[in-house]
Amino acid sequence: MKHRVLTIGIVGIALIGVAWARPGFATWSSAHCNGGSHPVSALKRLDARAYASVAVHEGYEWGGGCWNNDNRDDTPGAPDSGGEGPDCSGLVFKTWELRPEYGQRGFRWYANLTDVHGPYSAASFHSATPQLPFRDLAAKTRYATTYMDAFASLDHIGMIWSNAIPSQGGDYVVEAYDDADGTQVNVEDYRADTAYRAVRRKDWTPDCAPRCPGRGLAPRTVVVG
Amino acid sequence: MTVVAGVVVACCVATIWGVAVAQAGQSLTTAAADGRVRIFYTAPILVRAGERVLVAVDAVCATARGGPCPAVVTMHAGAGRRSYHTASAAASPGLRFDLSAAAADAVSGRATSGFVRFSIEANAGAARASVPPDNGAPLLFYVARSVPAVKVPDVPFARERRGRAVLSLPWGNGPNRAGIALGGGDPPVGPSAFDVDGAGRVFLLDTEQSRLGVFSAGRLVRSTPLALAPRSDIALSPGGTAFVLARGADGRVDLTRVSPGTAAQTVSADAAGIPGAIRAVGGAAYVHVFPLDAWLPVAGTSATRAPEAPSVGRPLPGGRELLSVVRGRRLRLGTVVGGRVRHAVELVFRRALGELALAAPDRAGGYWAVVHVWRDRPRPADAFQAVHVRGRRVVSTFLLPSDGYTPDAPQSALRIGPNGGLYQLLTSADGVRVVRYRIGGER
Repeated sequence: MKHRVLTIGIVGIALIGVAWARPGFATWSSAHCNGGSHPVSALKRLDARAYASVAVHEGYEWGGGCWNNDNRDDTPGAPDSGGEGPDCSGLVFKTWELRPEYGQRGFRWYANLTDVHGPYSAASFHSATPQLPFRDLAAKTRYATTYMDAFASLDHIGMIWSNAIPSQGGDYVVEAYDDADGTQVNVEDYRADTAYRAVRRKDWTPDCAPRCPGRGLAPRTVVVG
Repeated sequence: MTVVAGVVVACCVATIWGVAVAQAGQSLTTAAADGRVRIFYTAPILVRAGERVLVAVDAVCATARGGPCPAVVTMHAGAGRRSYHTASAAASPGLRFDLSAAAADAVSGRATSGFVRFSIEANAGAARASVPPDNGAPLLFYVARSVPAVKVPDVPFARERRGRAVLSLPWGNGPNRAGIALGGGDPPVGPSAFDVDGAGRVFLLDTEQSRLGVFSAGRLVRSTPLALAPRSDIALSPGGTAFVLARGADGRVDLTRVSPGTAAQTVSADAAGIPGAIRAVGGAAYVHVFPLDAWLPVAGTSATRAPEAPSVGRPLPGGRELLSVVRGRRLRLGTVVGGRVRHAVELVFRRALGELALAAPDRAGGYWAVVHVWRDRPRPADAFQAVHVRGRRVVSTFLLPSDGYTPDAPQSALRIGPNGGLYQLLTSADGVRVVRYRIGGER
C-alpha cells in the first residue's frame, strides 16, 4: 500500500511537471497567431498586393499561414515546427482572400496573424477544376496575365508581383519558397517553364472601381520634356 | 517603331524597393511608420533612335497593416547638355512616362549613339523611395542609331544538343555527392550555381552541404565550408578567387570572398534588394541587383567605379559594358565603349522568350547569348537556345535542355569558361551534372 501511494505520488508530480512544462513546447504560431477574419464583398488586385507586401521578408512554414510585420524570419532554421510564415499556397490563399470552405466563391479577409492555410495545395491551383474560385489561364503570355495572377506547378505557386519585368527577362514574383529563403519577391522564370501554368482568381473587382472609365484600366502616359 | 517601343515598355520594368542601395555604410530607408513605398520601373537599357520610349513605373505603396496607400511618382530625365525635364503623376499600375524627347536629344547632331540620364522618385506622405537611391548617380539608357534586327532560326524542341559531362555527382552527403533538401511539399533545393576556371575545374555552390566544392576531372580536390543561402551565385576571378552572392538578412545582399588557401571572408554588404548575378572582371566583382536592375561594384574588390555609381551594362575588361535586354520576342545586345554604343544588334526570335541566361562578347564584335525559349501551343515546350551572332549574321544556334530537378538562381545555370567552352548545370532525380558544349573558338 505504501509503495502504491508513493508510486501514485511520483506519477502525479510527474504529470504536474509535464503540465507546467507545456509552455516550453509552445510553437511560435501558437504564441503569436491570434488574428481574426471576416467576410468581405470584393477584392481589388491593388489591395491584394498591398496585403502580400506585409509578408515579404517574413518566414516560411510548410502548411503555415501566419506572420507578423517585422521584416525578418522569427523562426529561422526551424522547418515544420509551427514557425512564422506561410507556405506558397497559404500565401496565395490569404492574399486572394479565398474562403476556407473548399470550392466556395466569395471573399474573406484574414489578419496576417491569423494562422490559416486554407484547403488548397499548389497542385490544386495548378490543376484547377471549374467549380473552384480560381481558374487556369489558356496562355501564359504577358498579354494573358497581369499582376496578382499566379504561376503554379504541382509543388509550388507564386504570384506575379508587378507587370514590371526585369531587363534580363522573367518576372518579379512574390512567393513563400522554403524555410531557408522565407517569403520574398524574387526574379523567376516560371512563365517560360512548362511545369508552371498561369492561374487567375475569379471575381476580381477592377482597381478603378467604383469610378472606372469606359474601357477600364487603360495605361496612362505622361510625357517628360 | 511605336509598336516596338510599346513592347519595350511592356516588357522591361523593374522593381525598386524603397531601400534599394545603402551607400557608404548608411541604410537608406524609405519606410514610414505607417508603411512604405516601392518603385517598379521600366529599364529601357538600349533603344533605337526614333523609337518611342515609354517607361512604365509602378510604385507600390502599402501601409503597415497591408492596405494600399496613394503615392505620387516623379520622373526626371535629360540628355546631352539639355537640363533635366520633370513630370509627375499619381501612381497606378498602368502609369508610363514617355522619354522619347530625351532619347532624341541623346542622338542629336551627328552622334551615332548617346545616352539619357534619368531618375525616379515616389512620395507617399512620410514614405519615400527613389531610383537610384538618394545621392546616387542617375541611371542611364543608351540610344543607338543602328540596331540591326537579325532573325534567329527556330530549332525544333526535340532537337536538343547533348553536352559532354565534366562533372556528375549523385545526390547525398559526402565529398563526391551533391546535397539536396527534399521538403514535405516544397520544391527540392540543390546546388544553386557554378563557375569554371581556366583549367576546367568546376566550382560548385553546394548549398545543402554548406560548401564551395572544387572538382577536377570529376573528383573533389578542395572544399571550403560556407554557409550558403539558396539562390546564391558565384563568379571566379582569373586569380582563382571566388566571389559568392547571396540574399542576406533584412533584404540585404551578402557578398563573400573565398581565396585559395584562406577562409571565406565577407567582403561587403553595401547593397540591398534581390540578388541577381555576380561577375568578376579581373580582381573586381560586380553584382546585378534587382529591382535596381543595374550592376553595382563590390567594395573591397578592385572595382574602380565609385560605390554609388550603378551601371546598366555588365562591366567588361577595359572599362567596357555589355548591354543586354529582353523585349518580348526580341533580345538586344550592345557594347558600351567610352560612352558610345558599339556592335548593337537585335535578335528576333519566333518563339516567346523567358530569362536571358547568358550573354557574352565573342572577342570579334559578336556575341554569344543563351535565352530561355518557350511556347504554349500546340503543346507546352521550353528549352534554352544558344545563339552566336556576329554583325548581321547568326553564326550558329542550337538548343540546350532546360529542365531542372532543383531550381537554380537566375543567370546561374550557364557559363562560358575561360577556355571558351559553354558549360551548363543540370539536375535530375539522380543528381547533378555539369556538361560542356563545344561552341568553337575553344582554347
